[in-house]
Amino acid sequence: MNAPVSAPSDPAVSGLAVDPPVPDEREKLLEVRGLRTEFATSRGTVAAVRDVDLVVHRRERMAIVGESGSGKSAMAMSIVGLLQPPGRVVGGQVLLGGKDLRGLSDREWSKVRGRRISLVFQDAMSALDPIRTIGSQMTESIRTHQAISKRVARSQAVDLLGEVGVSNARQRLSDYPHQYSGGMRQRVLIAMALANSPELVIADEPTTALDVTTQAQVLELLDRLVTDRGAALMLITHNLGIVAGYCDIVKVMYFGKFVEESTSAELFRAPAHPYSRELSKCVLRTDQEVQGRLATIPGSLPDPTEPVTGCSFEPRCPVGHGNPLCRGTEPVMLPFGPPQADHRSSCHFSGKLTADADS
Amino acid sequence: MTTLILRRLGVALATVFGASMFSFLVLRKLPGDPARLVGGELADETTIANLRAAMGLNKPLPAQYWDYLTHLVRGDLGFSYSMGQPVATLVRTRLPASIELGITAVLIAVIWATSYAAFAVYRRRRGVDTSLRVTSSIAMGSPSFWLALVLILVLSVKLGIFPGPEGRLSPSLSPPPTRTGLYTLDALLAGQFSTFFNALWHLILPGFTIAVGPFAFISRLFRSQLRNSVREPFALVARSRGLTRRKVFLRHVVPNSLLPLVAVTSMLVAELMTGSVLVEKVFAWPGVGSLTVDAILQKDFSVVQGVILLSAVLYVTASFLADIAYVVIDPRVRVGAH
Amino acid sequence: MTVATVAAPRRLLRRLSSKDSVLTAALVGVALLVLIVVFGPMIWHLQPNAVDLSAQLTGPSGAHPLGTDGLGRDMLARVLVGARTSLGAGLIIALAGAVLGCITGLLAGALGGWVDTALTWLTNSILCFPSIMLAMAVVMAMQPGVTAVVIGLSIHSFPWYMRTLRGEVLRISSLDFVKSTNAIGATRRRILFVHIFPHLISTILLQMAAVFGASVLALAALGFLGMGAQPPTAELGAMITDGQQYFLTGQWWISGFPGLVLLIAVSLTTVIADRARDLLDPRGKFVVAE
Repeated sequence: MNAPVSAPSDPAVSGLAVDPPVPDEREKLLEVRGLRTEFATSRGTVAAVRDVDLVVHRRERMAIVGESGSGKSAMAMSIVGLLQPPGRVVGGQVLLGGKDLRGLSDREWSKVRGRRISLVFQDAMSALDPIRTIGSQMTESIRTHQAISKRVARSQAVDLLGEVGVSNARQRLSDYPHQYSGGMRQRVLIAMALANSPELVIADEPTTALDVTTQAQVLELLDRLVTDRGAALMLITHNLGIVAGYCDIVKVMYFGKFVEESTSAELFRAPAHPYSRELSKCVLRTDQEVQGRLATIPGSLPDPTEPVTGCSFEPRCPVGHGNPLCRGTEPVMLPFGPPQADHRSSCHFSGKLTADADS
Repeated sequence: MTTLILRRLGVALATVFGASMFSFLVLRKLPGDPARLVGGELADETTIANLRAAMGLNKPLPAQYWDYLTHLVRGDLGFSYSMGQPVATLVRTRLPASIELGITAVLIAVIWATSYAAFAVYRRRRGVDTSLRVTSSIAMGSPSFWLALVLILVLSVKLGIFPGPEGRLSPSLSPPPTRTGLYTLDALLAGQFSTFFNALWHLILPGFTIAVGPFAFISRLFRSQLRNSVREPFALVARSRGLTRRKVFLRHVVPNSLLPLVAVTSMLVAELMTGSVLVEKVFAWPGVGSLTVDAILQKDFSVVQGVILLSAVLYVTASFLADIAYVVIDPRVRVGAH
Repeated sequence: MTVATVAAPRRLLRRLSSKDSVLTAALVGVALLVLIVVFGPMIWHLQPNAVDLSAQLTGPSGAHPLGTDGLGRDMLARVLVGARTSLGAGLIIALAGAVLGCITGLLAGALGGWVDTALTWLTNSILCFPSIMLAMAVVMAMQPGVTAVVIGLSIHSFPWYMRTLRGEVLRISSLDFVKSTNAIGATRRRILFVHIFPHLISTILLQMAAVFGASVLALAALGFLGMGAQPPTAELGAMITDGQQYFLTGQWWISGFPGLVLLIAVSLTTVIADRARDLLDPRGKFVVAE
């Protein structure tokens, strides 16, 4: 089962020939091409997003998985034009429905954000203005995009609160953010994000700050609302475990680039990149006994101020560590496996790994 | 919340008490003869001896203090030998002039400071920001009495825009009928519009001079609050919901930054009182400040003692009200967490 | 952010100047000012009290760069000596207040309990008087002169230090690294002097800069009112009063230059205090970043 490993950039040689890709007939919603983002720090310029491509289709569920520092949040912020200094987008395109979002004015952006693309953030504690009521902030969100009266907006807000499971919605509109629990606040944020029926919801670590039980509830809620409103979802997380039930497509991000892309089923079945493999080992499963020590991935991200030579995961890679090929040549994202799995990976040894999994 | 108010009130009263003790002691216990100070340099020994008896200086100190307190509570601040009137009357007649000036100064300082700081933070341009910081540093360093002179020289004498040191009104005009004591208000109420404008015009230069100090620290504080608030997550989240930069700034960032400014009220009051003492003299403004200066130059100790105690009471009151206001305005404190 | 021990003022100075050009400029300005004030009177040949009735009220010129006053006295000489008095007294007030304030602040913070309550009440009582008024009262009760003013203003300035110090002591004693030292048995006095004190040095220095500025202005104000240094001692505030009668009629230099010197001195120290605090304590919590 061990296919000979030679020049890996030539799929024909490595024995993993693939058919030409099937043309995608689903409607493209968001397209990102060659996105590059940098941060100016006191230690030099740091590249946070290094040449990222992705496509989100209508009603699609995509998960972006990666550890802290992988650049996933920077990517999300860059997509909606909210990357704050010292970060700046230095290259690439972001197309929403075919229109390039880069270079939009503040006013034009205000028609996109909250209306066509919504965000849900991690830290609900400080995500709301502490000196204004929940009601006023919700109606503000609604009236920014709909030309309706305060009264109508308020009743919409009441309905929304009810939809996300806040009881006594009418009274609770007059409460302040600090009077809500963490889980409640996150529900409110989700409600606000979906108030104007956006086409895409980007949720950046929406459950990380919550306890496990609330996490499940909030994810369920997000899932239901997104489905009901026919939106697409981009779920950004470091927790591979929550991806399985909610997302169709998974993209694994490491050090500013995608290293593996696949359907979630396929990824869990046969991860083709050593990093994904290690990540899935880290996921605690409730159906298995915990054997020995909890799995971790030793080491940490490389120094972002240093230039990249070879594979960025090599120092921590159980497969390629020390390998001169991995050290010297940066791997290319290539498709593997059956076409309908849409499985791509950038590792010199992907073939070996998937072959092992299949056996 | 009532307990909070009561507790603060208790602290305020204790402080006033301490202040009264202090002002009492300073003028009784420091080297120098209080009777001599009150009676004046030229009074003869008998007068001084009588004064000493009248002032109760022969009694033990605690008894003197008790006398002092009982008089205070009745509103008796003593008698001014140099001006021939009870101190309380002197203060009462001159207070409105100082209040009018003080209000003008506060308005100028607050409006100038907040708009300048907001502009600087919103625009995000280095140049504007630096100009703000430089202006506030220079404002902080200007001696108010000197600045008054300079402003009068440039704006009044040389350019003739504003009136000089001639008090509240041009000599040719007479004050409006007294309703509040504030010339502007009284003139409006009486329909005397030219008097109103005249009084207003006279308020501007001295008001601005006094406002310069408060402008410095208010603008600095507001600027730093704005810079903090702008970086808060809620500002970014608001933008992600589709609000423009301007809306986020005006509706969320600014209100959140104004709240902590309440704490600065007592300092503001102190600055106003200090400022008025010097500036009133230069502008020949008939307020409590110039009263104080005159009293000092005459070595009229009763007036000085009365005025400084009054200023302490004012400061403590302002402080207390600011504390309460903060509790009332901030929903996090007012409503409490679940 | 790691909490680093604040080093000696020299290292502090170097670190501050490397990061902020305005701050560096201000520091240089203050250094220049100090040099001029300290050495100026020795170098300049004219005397501050030399009356020369033939040269009354002459404007700035080659012989008298800052002009002459009503008695023909050279303004440059007067301003130099006056600056010595004003700025020197300001420094004394800042230092005296620091000493007194630090002692009371440390006591209040470290000992707590009734000592704290009593000291806080005392300082609050002092603070509620505007500084000038308090100093005026003191001066009135004593003989007018620099000593009285310095005492009066020092009384008003020490509460600022006391408050800051007390706050810092309380805050620092609750920091983890102090708690852990406590755990291995260090005595309270040791904690005070070896661990807490270095942190406080920069706080104190900054407070001193602020107090210095305010004191110099208050001193000048009192001088303006005739309550400070008595003639023939030159003092900037009194000089402004001397020149007041001539100011509006054209001889602006007699009041103008003393005020300008005050403005420059206090503005520079304010800039330094401001910017230094920004660098050392950007978020308002006093932690020194690497």
